[in-house]
Amino acid sequence: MKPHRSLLLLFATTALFAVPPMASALDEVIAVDAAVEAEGEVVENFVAEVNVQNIDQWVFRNQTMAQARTMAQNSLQVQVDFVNLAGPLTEIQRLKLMLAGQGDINRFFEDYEILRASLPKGRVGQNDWQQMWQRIQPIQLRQQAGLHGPGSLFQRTVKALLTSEQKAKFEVLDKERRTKHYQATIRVALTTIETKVPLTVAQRKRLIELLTTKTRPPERVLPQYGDFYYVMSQLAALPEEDLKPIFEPREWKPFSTMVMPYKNNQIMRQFEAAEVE
Amino acid sequence: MTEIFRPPRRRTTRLVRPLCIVVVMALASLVPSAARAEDGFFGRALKGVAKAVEKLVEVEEPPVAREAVMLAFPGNANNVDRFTPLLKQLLKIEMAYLVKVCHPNDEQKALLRKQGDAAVADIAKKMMAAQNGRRGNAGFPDARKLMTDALHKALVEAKSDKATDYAQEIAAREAARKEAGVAMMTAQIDRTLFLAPDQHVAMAKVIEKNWKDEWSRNTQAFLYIDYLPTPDVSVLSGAMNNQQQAVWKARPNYGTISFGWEGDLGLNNGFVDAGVDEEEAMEAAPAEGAAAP
Repeated sequence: MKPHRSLLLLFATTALFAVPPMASALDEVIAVDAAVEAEGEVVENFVAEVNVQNIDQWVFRNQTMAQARTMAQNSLQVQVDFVNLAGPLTEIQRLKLMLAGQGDINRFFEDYEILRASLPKGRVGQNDWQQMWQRIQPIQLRQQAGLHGPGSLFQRTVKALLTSEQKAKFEVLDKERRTKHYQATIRVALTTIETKVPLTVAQRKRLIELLTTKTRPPERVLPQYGDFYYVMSQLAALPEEDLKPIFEPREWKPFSTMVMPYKNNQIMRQFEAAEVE
Repeated sequence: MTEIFRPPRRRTTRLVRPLCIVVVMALASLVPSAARAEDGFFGRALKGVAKAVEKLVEVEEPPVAREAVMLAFPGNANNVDRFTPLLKQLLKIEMAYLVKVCHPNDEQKALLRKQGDAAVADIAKKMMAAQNGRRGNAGFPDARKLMTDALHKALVEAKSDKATDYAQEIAAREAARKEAGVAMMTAQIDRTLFLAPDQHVAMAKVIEKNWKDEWSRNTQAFLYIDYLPTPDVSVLSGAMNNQQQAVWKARPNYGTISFGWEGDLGLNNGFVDAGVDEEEAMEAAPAEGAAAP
């Protein structure tokens, strides 16, 4: 056997035993090095690439602007259908409601496009990134809350457009809807209380009755977990003489601790302030 | 937090790479052909070198994930029991409930305490197994259900005539959780779809029929409309018109929210000692037969 062939074979054998563990070790080292380098960049010199598509996805949470617009149109249609339950809308009424709702949609997307045009593009440093998000968040929340809620052109048109008979029926429908949401949230609030103070059937029944008879649903459908804060605030506001007899003496302290943060509408006020911002 | 992922001795590990290559190349060029066999002296020597290199790298580069876990949960690495303290608190709360419902006598109380402690140990083991199996939050057993099952069993063993009452109360509590979940899920769907009153009823029925028990563990999940667990749209669409179906199907899918096993127990927010206390309940428990509130 020639010497160079011997060396090649030897090297191949060596590689067979040595390379796999080495490869795994080296891969690990390389991966860690890469992670460290990437981390260094994030911490010391954060830069994000910002473009129009990115901004759309951030604001509309993984949707394109076109998808978000279509969703808003579909949502308008179901709301008009709901108003129609108050008594069949005439063609003119339906058209006016659709136009008003469309106005809300157009106004929102115009505001958004103005905002988007004013945002920095390209490579953005950390400070600009943070400032950009402070400007994005209000419009993101506006979209999440729905474009046809209280104060919208759509809602104002509903009030102005319906006949007195339709209006009365619509108010009943709307109240029923809010009451169902309120009753659901009361039950969720009680299951939350029960994680620390489990209730008997009798206690649960008395609490539901008390909340149903002595408190009222919110005047409007509150966004996200606003309903929960509202119920807890109502519970916290109930007179002690009504609540205390429902609980055993040893249960009163943990119950009070749970509702304490909601006393005097503290959390509800914070929630409403955040909504306004 | 950034320091968590920074391996401690980078310079040394960088030296390992060229060193490995030099050692292997040197051996390869010096070894006679007869020694290439795997079982030969040099074959074994090469394996030894490879193992040593692996070991060296392993020592210098502790796995990043483990390091991160240890720093994020001091004292709570993989095999440290972080379940028992909260399970003990859960036991206190559930024992207080049992006393309220069943008014056990002294002999029964002693047995219940013993069985309760055993249940804590047993559930902690199950939670640890789920954690070490890395099955995610969904893999954790329902600790509260395990606890109430164990206490019911203890009541039966203690020959309490209130064991059936206890079982009924626990079933009613579970039913209340489901009722809350169904109502809240329906309300959240209604927020988006503006259901007509008859659709609201139909939707609640569809949801109830397709309810999954794990949804009852934490009703807080139903407060977050974007992360709402729901049955599949094909099931729900029976209670929707075409327009509503279009809206529902177009919703982005963000997945569902999870508050972790501690969140499911309601004991993760700093109120560890805020539940009703079993010892206090034991002392204050009226004689058996007294009326519950």
